Amino acid sequence: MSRASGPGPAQGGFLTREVGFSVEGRPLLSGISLDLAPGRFVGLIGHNGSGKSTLLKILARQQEAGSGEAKFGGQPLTAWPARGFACEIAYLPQTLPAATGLTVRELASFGRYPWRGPFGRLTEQDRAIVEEAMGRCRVEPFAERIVDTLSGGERQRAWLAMLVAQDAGFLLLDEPVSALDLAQQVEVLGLLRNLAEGGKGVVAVLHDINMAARFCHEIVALRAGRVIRRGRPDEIMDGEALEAIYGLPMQVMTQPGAGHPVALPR
Amino acid sequence: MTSEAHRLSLAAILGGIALLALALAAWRLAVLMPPGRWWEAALHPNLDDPRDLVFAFSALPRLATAALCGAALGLGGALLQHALANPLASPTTLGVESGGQLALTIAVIFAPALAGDGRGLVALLGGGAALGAVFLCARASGLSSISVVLAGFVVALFCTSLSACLKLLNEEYATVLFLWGGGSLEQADWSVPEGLAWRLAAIGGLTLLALRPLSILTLADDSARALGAPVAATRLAALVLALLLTSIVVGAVGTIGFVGLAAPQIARLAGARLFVQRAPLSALVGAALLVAVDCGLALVLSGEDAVSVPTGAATALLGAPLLVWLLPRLRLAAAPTAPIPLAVRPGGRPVIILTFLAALLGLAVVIALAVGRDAGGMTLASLPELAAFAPWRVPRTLVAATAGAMLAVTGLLLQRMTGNPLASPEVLGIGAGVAFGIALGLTAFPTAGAAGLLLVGAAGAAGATAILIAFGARSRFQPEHILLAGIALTSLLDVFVLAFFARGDLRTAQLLGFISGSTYRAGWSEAWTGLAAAALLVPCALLLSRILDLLPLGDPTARALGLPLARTRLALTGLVAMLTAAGILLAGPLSFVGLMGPHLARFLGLRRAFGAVIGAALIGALVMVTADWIARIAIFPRQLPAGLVAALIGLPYLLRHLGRRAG
Amino acid sequence: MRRRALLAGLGAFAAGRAGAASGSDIPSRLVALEWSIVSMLLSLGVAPVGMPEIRAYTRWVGEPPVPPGTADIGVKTEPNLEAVAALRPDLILTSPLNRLLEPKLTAIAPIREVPIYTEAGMPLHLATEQLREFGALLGRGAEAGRVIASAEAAFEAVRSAVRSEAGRPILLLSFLDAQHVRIFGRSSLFGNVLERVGLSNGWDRAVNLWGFVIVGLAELAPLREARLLVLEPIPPGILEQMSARSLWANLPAVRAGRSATIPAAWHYGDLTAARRFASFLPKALGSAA
Repeated sequence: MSRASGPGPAQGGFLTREVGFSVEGRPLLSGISLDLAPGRFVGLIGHNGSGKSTLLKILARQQEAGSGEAKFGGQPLTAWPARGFACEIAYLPQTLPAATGLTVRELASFGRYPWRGPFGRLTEQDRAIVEEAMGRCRVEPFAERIVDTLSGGERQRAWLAMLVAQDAGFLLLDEPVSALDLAQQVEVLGLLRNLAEGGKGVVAVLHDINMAARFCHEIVALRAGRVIRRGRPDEIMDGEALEAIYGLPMQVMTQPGAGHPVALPR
Repeated sequence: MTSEAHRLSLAAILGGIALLALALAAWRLAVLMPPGRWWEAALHPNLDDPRDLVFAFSALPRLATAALCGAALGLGGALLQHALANPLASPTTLGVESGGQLALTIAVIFAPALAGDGRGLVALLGGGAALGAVFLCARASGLSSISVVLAGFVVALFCTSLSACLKLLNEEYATVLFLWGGGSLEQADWSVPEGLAWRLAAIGGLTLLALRPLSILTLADDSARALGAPVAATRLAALVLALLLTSIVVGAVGTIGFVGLAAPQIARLAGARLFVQRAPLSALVGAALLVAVDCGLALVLSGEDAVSVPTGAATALLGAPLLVWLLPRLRLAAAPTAPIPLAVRPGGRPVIILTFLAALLGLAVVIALAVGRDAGGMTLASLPELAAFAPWRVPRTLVAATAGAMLAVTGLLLQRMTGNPLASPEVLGIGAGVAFGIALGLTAFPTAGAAGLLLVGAAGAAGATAILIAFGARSRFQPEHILLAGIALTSLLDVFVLAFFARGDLRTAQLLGFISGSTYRAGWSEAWTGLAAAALLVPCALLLSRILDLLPLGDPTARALGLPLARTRLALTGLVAMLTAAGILLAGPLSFVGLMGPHLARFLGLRRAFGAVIGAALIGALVMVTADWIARIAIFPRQLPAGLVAALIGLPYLLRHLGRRAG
Repeated sequence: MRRRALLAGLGAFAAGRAGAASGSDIPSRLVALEWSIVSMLLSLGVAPVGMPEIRAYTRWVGEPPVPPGTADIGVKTEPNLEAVAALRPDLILTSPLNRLLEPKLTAIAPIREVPIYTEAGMPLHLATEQLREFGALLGRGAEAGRVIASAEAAFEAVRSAVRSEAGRPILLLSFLDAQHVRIFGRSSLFGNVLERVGLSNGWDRAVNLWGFVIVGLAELAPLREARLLVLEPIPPGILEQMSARSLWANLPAVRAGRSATIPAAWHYGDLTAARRFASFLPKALGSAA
């Protein structure tokens, strides 16, 4: 299967209309109408329980929307075949298994599974894509080590390498930097930004509003299962908007020197 | 709030159980004696009236025994569930009962003097050893609920199979041993309930005194320790008390199944959140449950039928559905499923490892075919002699090899599917299905031939598999649920198998041979069947090897990479069922190769599924061929079941390697 | 008298083994898979070359004794086929329980099934018939005739000795534990013997293929008129446990002194076991009068 045959990213990204989701009568999401285009790094923010992860899971087809409709590339999500969808959309869950028994290279190679299926062999081209992905995620130095034996940051990058090797048009990531130290966070978010600028769509659940503001093209803020703000970082980094999002008075300052806005609880 | 109403209705259920027990007991007694005469018949029985005799010396002590045993097991179960913070813990699920039973079996055969008054002590030793083994096995998985239960089940299976072998080799004792194994509450005087009463009073009293210090275990270990509580000592005390309570019951009446699991659950559902409430309530519920089951049974069955369905076994009719009902309500996902903590050598070249294993298997086959034993000692067969021995040795060796390979591959599939290092074909309930089929076949067609028994056994396997798949479909083939459903199914089917045994039928030997894992009956037809099944099914596992590599990455990742999970699991469950049915039909329900094969393969450095499938198959075949050879020559001219020998080889290995902590 | 029979038997062994060397048509290298068959052969003075579980046989069956030189072939239910084949038998004697093994056994030697315990429930009759057939088959017709005649004579002797007891039904049982007994019905070997010597069996409920049933002690209570015969061995500690407050001690038969123990005889046995059991009856019934 090649990119040309499927509805590629050029034909559009995600489109949701009034998507809702509830568990045992308690709504987790309601009335979500969004369009997400490729070529942009979108940060999903909001306090715990605001529905960020649930929204991401619905987009990734990990969960089915309870109501409303969600489309990708003009087709309803449910209409996509499993592997065809995986060729278009990559997803990194929040919790990663502690043990896989795989080396970093083997893990990254699984990114090619959607393209080759359970029985197909990897081609030279596949191998090149895997090597390139490992290079971009800087995991080559420990390519032959078992993933389980790596540090948290190294492990996260190994998984990212798998996502990159998947070569999908869209990457959906659930808190991809939560386990990382500051330097690693900057590195990984920079990588995601680069991917977005190279034409991929990137949607990530992020906890740190300042990091989101610094790296994302756009921020979508959720509260109580609804989108309450959406905009460029400079539109979100505003005392009134942040208070609406976090329910807490916030002050926005400008970082001396770099000029990035920084928000702090007042 | 609705939860108040909920609790109220559950309290009604609790009262209902008590009322049911009282009503059934009253009905049972009224059948024997008009209520107006109860008091007189109990205190001053008219010795010339048989009804008075039965009432005073059999029915009443039996009622007392049921109540006392139920109370002891309910309290013991509550202690275990509390101490381990595990809603599935109970004397049955932790192997304590089977361990005690095995110890009693050994005592009856080798030290009959001990089997009299020392029964309680013997049961205590056996139960303690079993519990210790369960902990060693499940330690690596952080004692998560599911791992403890799986380890308990495996240990129980081991004890049961060793008991079966001892019975097979000492057939003359088998009947009485089955009577005990089934947990018959039949009484003919007051000595048993009296002994139970003072023991229960002592241990139960001690437990009630210790309720408050014990309740500190409700907190997580760290918090309890921070409060200054001696956590380890408290937990040990709770376990010892539970062990003592179980042992006095096993020593007195044998194995009484699920009361220890059910009673604390019912008490909890009825709103006894605190341990200080739950413990005494569990004892009461346990007593009511066992009285209800026993009196209900006595009303339905009489005479020789009562003997063939002992009360202990019948509690499984209650417990197995309960287990199934509990499953969806358990937060299994929250249990930490630690990875298999085995050293992995990333540099291992699969081709070299596999060649080495294949060579080793070849050597084992040659030894198994050429080396034997006769009345004079060990013999090495010459070529012409080999031809003479071929009809005996070749089919056995082939059956052992193919069954071992299939079971090991099954274990690998299950462990990759569940991410649980204790998952193995032994626990799927298919073995019990086969045993059930054979028992049914022997009853319905007493003179069925080997082919006929193979057929009914296969039908049993198919039935069990169908039930398993039907159940699995409900939980979208959640592997933990399938494993627990397998355990429930096994318990349920074992009731019927036990009922068959307790009739004292001489044909039990055929079933015993199967249960303990004998390759004795292997002939050419079995050998070809095994070969065909292995040749067909093992390559299927190889074809799926990339999926097997993918599954351990977790459901979300597997789904994100485009794997249709439900369909994949259905296919894998089907393959597992077929492999298990074929392997178990040939080599019996127990061998541990399903556990050992995948672990050893991993230990040798076969990480990727493709190599691991071949490696596990070779290791499984190697272990079973070796075990079969040892089984053939160790106690010549008698023979041991090969499955049991494999299990004996495997148990120390499992205890050592599964017990190793991660990191 | 028994010693003389034994001596005659030993002489016959020598003859039996000589037969093998002379290459006559009479099968001489016999393997028996069931103790009752072993016992039948031995009573004809023919020693099998192989039999199962010799040590346990000595403990549970006892007579006739197994001559030295007989090979052990393992457990009854799973005889060691290599060991059987190594004995190069010219006939294997099986019981209906071995039917599953038939295809394998026929590969070693011709087999002959010896049905004694069948649905017909006439083990005594069948054991006698089979012994007669063995006599013809093994060239020992005279011995068979003698053994049968002597057993019949012994039964007749017992019959007249116990004539006075004929009116009272007998319950024949053995203890499994303090709560359960095995009761032998009319279709068991010993049940057949009771009938043969003119006694009546007090158990007329269902029994299994081997003519016995396992029940709780309480089932004995309604049978008030019966006389209780307890077969040894009794598991250790059981009779001690039967205090004055136990069901057993208060059974009408026990209180009236109508219970007695009777020495062990192999209850899945042949004519020898039947005769042995019968020989203990007069004394046992005398003590339980």
